[in-house]
Amino acid sequence: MNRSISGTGKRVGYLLVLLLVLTAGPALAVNLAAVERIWTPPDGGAAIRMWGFVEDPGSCTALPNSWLPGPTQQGVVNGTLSITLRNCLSEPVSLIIPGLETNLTPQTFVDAKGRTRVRAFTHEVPADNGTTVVTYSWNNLRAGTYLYQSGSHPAKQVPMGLYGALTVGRNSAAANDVVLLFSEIDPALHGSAEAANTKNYKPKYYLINGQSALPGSTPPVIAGGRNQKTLQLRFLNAGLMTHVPTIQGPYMKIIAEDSYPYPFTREQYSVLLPAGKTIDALWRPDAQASFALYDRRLSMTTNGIPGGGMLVSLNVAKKFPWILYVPPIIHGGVVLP
Amino acid sequence: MTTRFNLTMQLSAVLALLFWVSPLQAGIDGITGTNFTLSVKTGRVFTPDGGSLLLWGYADGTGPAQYPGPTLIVNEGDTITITLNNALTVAGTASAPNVSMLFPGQRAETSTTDPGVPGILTSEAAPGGSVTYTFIAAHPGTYLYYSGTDPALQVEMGLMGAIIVRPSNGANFAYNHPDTAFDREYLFLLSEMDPRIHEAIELDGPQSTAVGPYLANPFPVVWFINGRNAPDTLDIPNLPVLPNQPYNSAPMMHPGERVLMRVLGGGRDLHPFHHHGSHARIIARDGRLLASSPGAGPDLSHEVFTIKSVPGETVDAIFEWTGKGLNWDIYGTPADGPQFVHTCVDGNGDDFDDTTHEYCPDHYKPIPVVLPDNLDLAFGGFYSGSSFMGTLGSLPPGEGGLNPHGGYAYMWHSHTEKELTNFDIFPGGLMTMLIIVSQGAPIP
Repeated sequence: MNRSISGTGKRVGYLLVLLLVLTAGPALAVNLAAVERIWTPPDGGAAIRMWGFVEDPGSCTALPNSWLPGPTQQGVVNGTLSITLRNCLSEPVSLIIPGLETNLTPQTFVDAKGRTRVRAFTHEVPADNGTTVVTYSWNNLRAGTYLYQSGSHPAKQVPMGLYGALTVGRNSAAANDVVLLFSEIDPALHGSAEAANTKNYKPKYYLINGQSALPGSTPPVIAGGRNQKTLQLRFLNAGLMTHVPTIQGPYMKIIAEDSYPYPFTREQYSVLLPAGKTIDALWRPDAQASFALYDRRLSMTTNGIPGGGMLVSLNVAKKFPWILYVPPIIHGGVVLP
Repeated sequence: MTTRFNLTMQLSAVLALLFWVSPLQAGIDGITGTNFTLSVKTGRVFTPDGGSLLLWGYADGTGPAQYPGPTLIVNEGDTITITLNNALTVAGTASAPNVSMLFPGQRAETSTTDPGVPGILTSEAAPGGSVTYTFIAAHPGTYLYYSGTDPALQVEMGLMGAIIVRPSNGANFAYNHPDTAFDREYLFLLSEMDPRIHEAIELDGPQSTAVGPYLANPFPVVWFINGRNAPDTLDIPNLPVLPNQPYNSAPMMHPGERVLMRVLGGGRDLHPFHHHGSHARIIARDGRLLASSPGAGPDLSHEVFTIKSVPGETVDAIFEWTGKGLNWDIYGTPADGPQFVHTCVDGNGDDFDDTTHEYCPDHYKPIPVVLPDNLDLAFGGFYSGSSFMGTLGSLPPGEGGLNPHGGYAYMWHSHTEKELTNFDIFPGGLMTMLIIVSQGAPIP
């Protein structure tokens, strides 16, 4: 059924558009590149070929060498996000953010049997040595925590390392926030990515924010806000396995899952974090100390050696930065939160 | 021919007085107090397929290693001191590893003069040495403890156990709120083992290089409740032939009782714990009531028929069963025989008999099937010979026998059904049976 729009209606419409333009949130525009890099295991194992997102250096030459998860992007609630992507890899790539709405244009290919099959969830950047750049955009960002990741052949490209975190806003109760991105590396997938598949996925390295603890050594340190100040913990799982981040210290208040707030918070010392999931929690440290955070699914191995893997120290700074440094209280040589 | 276990309500009441003096006597096995001395030792975990696995277990003092470690039952507000001795021995020439304990949900400390040595997650007991932890049991609830030293290896080897903190409200409450009252409680500490890891450690010691790929990607083939595989779960506790697995898992209840299920994820895998018979209401996770605000009680509790047990987490749930909803009378009807004549007296208007908790709207509704003749049946040990609660029927010689009070048996098990095996032999694994017996029937 057609319905004509009256002159008044048109004027109201124009006004609404004007209002939307005026009230649209701040825009975040980012330039990224998909590049090949290496990750060096902490146990001295052979360097592993990775694919990753980096801040766009402007071309595919003179790239940094060491892999980490893509840089964390900080969006603004109700704002817009646009990511312009350069592709320095050997095959087309794309970008998706599960949980945020945008128009997707799936890409297909015709397989050997003549069937049209989906290759990518949305438009791609061709593999042309970085000549073409393509922009992906999202509007009306919803507060929370998101994974951004490749939308092309994701069963291969995501385990290869094409993932990062997007944060939108921060809970009003929190003074600081921290990204805790869980993922895994199965070196068998990385020797020749073109032939890789996840049928026999058996990761050897378990990472938090791209780092795997070395057994017998001090765990990697992550800044964990300030004593007595509420910290928003943003848990993300870019891997293929379930993890159970567990904090040795005060309980967390779990406030949101997949960036949808719970009607009531849940008080727990750990969270269930399946693949692709994001969880937001509030955590108020009660000491200027190091608090261990580890995976209670016991992915606490580094190439099979126990005592490493998914284990970090959340280092909580003193409550007031202008007070002289006081060393943390040591119990029997170990800080026991 | 059938005989009723309870002939009259009067007899029922007498039996209730005789056998039901303390509703907690079935309770949860464990050790109580405020000062505990535990030792880490080796032992054997026996599996019903005939195998046995090397165990590193926590022992109560000079006792044998246990899988799981002793359940520590303490009271809210108490200061708990645990001294851990490292008496572990290993194969080969290498020295035994350090051992330790983590107490998720508690704030454990060691003193500055403690003999423990620094570890990555906590203070540790060196071989032959000890470490002492102290914490205040500040919050009631169900908790775990486990090794904080190379946990991927040491938890797998058996170093984990449960802590129960009783609330100041009393031992018949899970938390300090009337809605957490219970008549009986049972522990369901769920875990699994990958025998390849235990064999490698037994042969080569903790420096085994063979163990690495298994630790990185374990593939368990035996699954446990309270350290036993079915059907050993159902046997009595402290069985001499299972010297390192003293705890059983044999839940029993009467209709209308509130049973507190304390479900703990002790291993490294998720276990969907499916409890046949009725839904259960989850009232707490990780020792914290599902409350919208302090003092509100478990107002955010919710019902499930499968408890999602997450590694390292705990769940408290209330299970109730009355037969409501079956749409037939579990105590039989006069048409089934004169011994089934009974009343349903609902004095307080809650739809249930005030004594037996029979669901009165279903009183004398016939069972809606034609009961088969014994010649048409295959029997299991739990079949009493009758479909009706508290009734024994005739059985062929050698059949039945596990259900002397004519109770109803419901399988409680992992809904990851491959976990109902012992090294590929069905049935077994993470499974037990809930037995519901009529009012007055004894529950050990």
